[in-house]
Amino acid sequence: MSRNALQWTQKPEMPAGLYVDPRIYTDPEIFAEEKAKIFDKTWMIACHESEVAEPLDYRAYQHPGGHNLIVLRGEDDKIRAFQNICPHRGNRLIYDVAGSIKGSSPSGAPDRITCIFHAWSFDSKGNCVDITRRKAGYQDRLKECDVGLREVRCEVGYGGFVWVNMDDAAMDLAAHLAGALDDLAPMLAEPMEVFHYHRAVVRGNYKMWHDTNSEFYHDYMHYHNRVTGMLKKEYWDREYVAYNHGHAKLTGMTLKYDAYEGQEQRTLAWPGMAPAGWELVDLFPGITYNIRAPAFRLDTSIPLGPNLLYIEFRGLGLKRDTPAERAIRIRDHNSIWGPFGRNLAEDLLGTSGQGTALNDSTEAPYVLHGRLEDGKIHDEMGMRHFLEEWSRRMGRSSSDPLNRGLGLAAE
Amino acid sequence: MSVMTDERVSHGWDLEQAIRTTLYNASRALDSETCMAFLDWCAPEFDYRITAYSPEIRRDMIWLQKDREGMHELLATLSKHNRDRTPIVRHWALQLISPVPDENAVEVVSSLQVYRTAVDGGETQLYAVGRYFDRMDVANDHALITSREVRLETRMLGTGYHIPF
Repeated sequence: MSRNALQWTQKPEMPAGLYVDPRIYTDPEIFAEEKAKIFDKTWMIACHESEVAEPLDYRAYQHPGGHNLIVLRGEDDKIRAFQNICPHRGNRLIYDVAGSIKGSSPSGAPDRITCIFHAWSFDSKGNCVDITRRKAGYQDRLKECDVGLREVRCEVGYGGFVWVNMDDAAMDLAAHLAGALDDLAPMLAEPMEVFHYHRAVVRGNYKMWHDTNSEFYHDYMHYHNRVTGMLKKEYWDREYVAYNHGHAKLTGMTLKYDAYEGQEQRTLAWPGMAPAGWELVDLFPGITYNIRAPAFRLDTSIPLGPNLLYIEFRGLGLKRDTPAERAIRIRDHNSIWGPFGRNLAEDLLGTSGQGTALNDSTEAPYVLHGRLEDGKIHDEMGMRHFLEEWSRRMGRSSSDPLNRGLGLAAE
Repeated sequence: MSVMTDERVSHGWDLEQAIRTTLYNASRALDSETCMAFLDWCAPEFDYRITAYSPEIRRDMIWLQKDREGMHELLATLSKHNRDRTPIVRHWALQLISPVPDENAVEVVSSLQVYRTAVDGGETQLYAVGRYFDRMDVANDHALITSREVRLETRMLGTGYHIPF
């Protein structure tokens, strides 16, 4: 039976934790608060160490808190992160998305970051090493030691990823992860290399994408997933495991790729996994480790607004791969997860459709997160666990974030 | 400066016409989503790749790679997939035809622009730019594509697309 306007706004007959108010996806005030309370306080992955493979290589990172960062491998081989901003007049220091400061630049000497604006220079540890005509302009009022770059906390690990945190007082990375990646340790032990990078832009909220990665009820959307996964008994045995700080893991399975026309069963393995194995961990607030042997996909979200999202997709192989092995990993990765793959575009279409439909948050009074299946694969506990952490950090209930009661009925 | 004979001019004209006919029909089949007809213009040894360079990771990337059988399966299963149904049109311009010495083959470079037109309202947007690098078998003035590399400059493709360019 269809419903009229009043009925449409009725609260569902289930506890508050099993549905959310869609304003958490659309409200500009909530989004501004998320930047301060979540993204500026949490460990985010900026890039992989293979993207700064050589000393003096750099990689720019658009931090979801609204900061431009530089990840730079120093002459001492240590990877550091800095804000990409000159302490003099606030100019952007590095303009290219990736490169090396090894050679000289039009404005400065080799092995230096030199601001193109007034040629202030910095070494790979963030020390200011030259203020042009310092004595003439500043006399003794300002010295190089007063104007180093802003260094951001940085750790490299869990598969060689470069993690950054804007909060100098935040807990360390291992404490933040709370063991969520421990079971993947055998799969992350060998040096890896990024072979694929692309971004998708979605008119939706970053939590919608994380929701999509955190529930598998939507496998009905994917022909590929239905025939390679859902038709196997072990698919239904997969379980969610929740970890502190909003992270969740889905236990693994072996997929039947040759059930999809034109695909062969995977023969090349991934360390610590069987061929065609699949492991997945979702990390708060927007990172997903997704290993379908023989390839590894990493998702990182960069929200640009409450309803506009960049998602970065990386594909990784092993550094020791032979050319033939690498070719297999690339082919298998892109057959499902590339921009022309048989799976990823469908997930993005679902999230995009949700973002479009909920753009006006009065359109729907709630979004259900209420499937309870003993923590099995179609349970929605991954999303609920994420939102518990979200509510804790935000000091708001995801079911009633503005303390106004539910949706239209309360207004 | 060499002077081309009428015969050579005529042969060159026929060859270019054969190449244009194949490129037109191959594109038309994909544009109109009568995709299996695309393979009518491909040789049995057909090999297809979509590639791009990523400045972010400073590497060449392969985004899709199929042989003829793989392309057949990919196109045959399209109807089973939920997908973005915004129609696209491939605009190509022939740029260079280079004969392959001692073979009935040519290498052909075409610039490529892909436009998408919204079903609701008909607004057209540029979706992607790149180039086709084709190798064609041109025996008997009939051109068949033996390999195609779609080299994309555009790397932001929204949610992605199920039908190859």
